[in-house]
Amino acid sequence: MDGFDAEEWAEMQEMYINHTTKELAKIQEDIDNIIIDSLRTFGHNIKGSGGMYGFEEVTSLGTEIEASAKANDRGKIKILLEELSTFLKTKN
Amino acid sequence: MSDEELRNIIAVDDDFAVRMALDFMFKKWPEYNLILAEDPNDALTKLDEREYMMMFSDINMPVMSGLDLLKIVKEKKPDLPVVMLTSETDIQNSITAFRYGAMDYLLKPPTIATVRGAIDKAVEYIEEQNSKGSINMDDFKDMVENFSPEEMGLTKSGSKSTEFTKLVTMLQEKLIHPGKIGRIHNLFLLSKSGIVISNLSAKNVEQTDVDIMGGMFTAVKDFMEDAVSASTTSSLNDIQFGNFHVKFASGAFSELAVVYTGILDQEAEDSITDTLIAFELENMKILENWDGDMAKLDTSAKHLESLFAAIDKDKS
Repeated sequence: MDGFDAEEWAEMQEMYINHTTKELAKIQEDIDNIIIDSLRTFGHNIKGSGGMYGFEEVTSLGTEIEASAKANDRGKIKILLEELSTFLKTKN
Repeated sequence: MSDEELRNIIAVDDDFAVRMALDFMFKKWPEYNLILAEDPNDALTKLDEREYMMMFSDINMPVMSGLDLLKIVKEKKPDLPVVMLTSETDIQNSITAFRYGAMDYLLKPPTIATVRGAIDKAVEYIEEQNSKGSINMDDFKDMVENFSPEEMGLTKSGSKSTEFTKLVTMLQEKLIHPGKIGRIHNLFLLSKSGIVISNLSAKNVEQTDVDIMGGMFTAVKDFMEDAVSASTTSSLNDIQFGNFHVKFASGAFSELAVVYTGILDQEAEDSITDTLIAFELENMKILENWDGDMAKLDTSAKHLESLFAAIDKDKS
């Protein structure tokens, strides 16, 4: 993000990846029981925050997760969460 | 507000990632003290714990939305500059936020530049508000005492002159609470000669100001009755000053002036008239030969309080 030096930016990205990885793990553990609105909120949040940390892929997946939650498509959400997990692992 | 308190800024967002980004940003501005809240209830608790110079708030949050939080905060702290954050490009949210008194609206993701810009705007707003408290009262008195609609170019409805514009600005600073949009700001119960019998304000108005206002309202009303009534459908006289209105109800012995922004509906107008009638009926014998002794009309405050409660509602 403009205004941060490389060291700050790297620290921010690392914290974001760690935080999102933990959140994702909690969701995936309970994916069949978690209420759909919580999944929508998760998608909505990473849609907004991904870009803040330079991860447009996260924003894109967040947009799809939010839309799938609105359509109550839990199967599609599972696939998207897996894609997000794979992406986050490449950044860890 | 002390220098210490001026530095506190609260930011409310249910998304940890947004709070973390803001936290990083504020490390660059040690002159400000960022307090983070993870939801509106957390924010309301923290708002009660200390004074803040401004607030950032997300809109889309579970349990209570940022717009609901804004509404509550503006009731409690109408002068607090609030900037809303949202990833929605929803115009309705923007309109609602501004109606509720938001100072600005930032689209997510907020950047260092947009956040800093919002802080600087809030600082300007606060400085402007503080400078309003230092109006030269002698100048103001002169202006009110020499109020002459004809000389100010007020020969027809809507006309303006530089002097009139200045007067309107000063009246607005004295009478209008900046955080109360579309609401009742002041009630003045006046004798026919312009003595303020009682007044009730959303914003504290010093006693000296109140006396000046009484003369001002009487002069305005006398002039308006001759020339510039802006009302076409109302049974009450209404004159617009800049962004606010003064509505007058006339009784046999007294006048009731209501200073407001936005729109007053018929129900509110009826309440104004009813209040004046009730006050005059209750004090008829005193008013017939009133000698200016305020103690004899000590129930007037009660009438204004009831009226304020009845009509100071959100008209959204």
